[in-house]
Amino acid sequence: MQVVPPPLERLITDLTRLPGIGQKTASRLALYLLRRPAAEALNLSASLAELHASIQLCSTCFAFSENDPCVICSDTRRNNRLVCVVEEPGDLMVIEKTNAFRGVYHILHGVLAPMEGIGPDELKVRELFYRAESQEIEEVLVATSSTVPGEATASYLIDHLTGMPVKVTRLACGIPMGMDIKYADEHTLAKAIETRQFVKG
Amino acid sequence: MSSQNCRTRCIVLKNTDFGESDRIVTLYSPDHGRFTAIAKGAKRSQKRFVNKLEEFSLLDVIYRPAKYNRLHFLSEAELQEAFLSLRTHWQRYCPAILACELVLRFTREHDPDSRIFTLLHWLLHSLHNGTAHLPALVFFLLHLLDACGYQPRLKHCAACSCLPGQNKQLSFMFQPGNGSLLCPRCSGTTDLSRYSLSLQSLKFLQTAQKMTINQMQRLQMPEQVASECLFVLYSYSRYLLQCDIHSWSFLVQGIKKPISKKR
Repeated sequence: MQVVPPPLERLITDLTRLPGIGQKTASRLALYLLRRPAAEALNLSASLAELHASIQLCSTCFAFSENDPCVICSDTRRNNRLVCVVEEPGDLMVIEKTNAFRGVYHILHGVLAPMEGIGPDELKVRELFYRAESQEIEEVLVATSSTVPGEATASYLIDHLTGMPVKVTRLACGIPMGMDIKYADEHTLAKAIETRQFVKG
Repeated sequence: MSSQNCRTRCIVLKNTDFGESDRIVTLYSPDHGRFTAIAKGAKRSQKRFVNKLEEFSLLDVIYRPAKYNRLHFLSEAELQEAFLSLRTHWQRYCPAILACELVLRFTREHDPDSRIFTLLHWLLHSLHNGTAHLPALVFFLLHLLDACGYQPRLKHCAACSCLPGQNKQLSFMFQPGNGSLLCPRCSGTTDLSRYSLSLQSLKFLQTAQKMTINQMQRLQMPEQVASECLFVLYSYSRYLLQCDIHSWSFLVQGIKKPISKKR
């Protein structure tokens, strides 16, 4: 006997394909949508349908965008000689929120993960090297995470960019703002001391 | 600490994000072998697990063993050694990650072997200190195969029992299918040229097989010999595992650019 109506079951199955969503959460979300007015579900389905039709990758920085080049790459007020290399589009949003960076970006769409079979060819690495060699770029800021794969990716990029006519910099690593140094781990603290800043004198 | 909690020394082989704030970590310990644990809140916590559950880290952990499923619950972790240069030098990262993948694939959960732990710890330590990575990896893989019961038979030809160098042969063929050697006469028409081992490489492998970790520093293996030995051992491992070893292709790129001394 079919207890769950087939359309509801189909929706639950589709939702379980999303990251971090299991059978229980998918059932809860599907039932929530069913209880809400039909217009809300239609709006959601229209947004989903529009997603792939209207969003593409910017051919310069590989960010998700409605236009090619994207808003950041086509902004003439930004310094397009300074390129910040990030792992994911989410990292771009975090850096943009700081309002501290006025250059342009290059999104790798991942990090080196040899165990999963992800090497430089699976990322937008070749495109970065091409950009560094052929365009008028002065500085490449490598802003990958401070995790093992993030650091290994940064090391790979820095190693290959060193022979090119660009200045290569790396995101600073140290204690977070508002943190009591008693709680900082020894490696972060050591790095903070190693890369201390000159103030006066 | 509850009486149910266990304490062990271990090396992080792999970690994966789970949900918004948790992390699943695969560890190798000399007392419990390979095991997987969940670290709740590891991605957000600023105190408990920050910068500790990264690959290659040597930890002292306290965990609550799993009751119904295979995931243990990680309560605390104390960082003993981080081997930082393995992340900041990608040429060192390649062999280190390959070693972790090999331990992951060759071992079963809760099947401890202290030799494997010692071997992995020694390799990470050596790579961190700038030891030439290919000879170290050859030694690691040779002894890992031995610890898993797949020691390659390198003393004589498997068919006619002739010893290397006895009949002035310049090279022997390795058979990945059964881990033994064939002399050029016995290999006949079988195409094993890809797995050819020069007499020099064979002598190095035979010596390395008898050596302990402490004696390994004495073995001065040329890079070319190490590459040849490593390819043969990789082919044998791939045959035994019956699957691809993903980190291998990344290591091959690293071989093209020799490792620099510790900066």
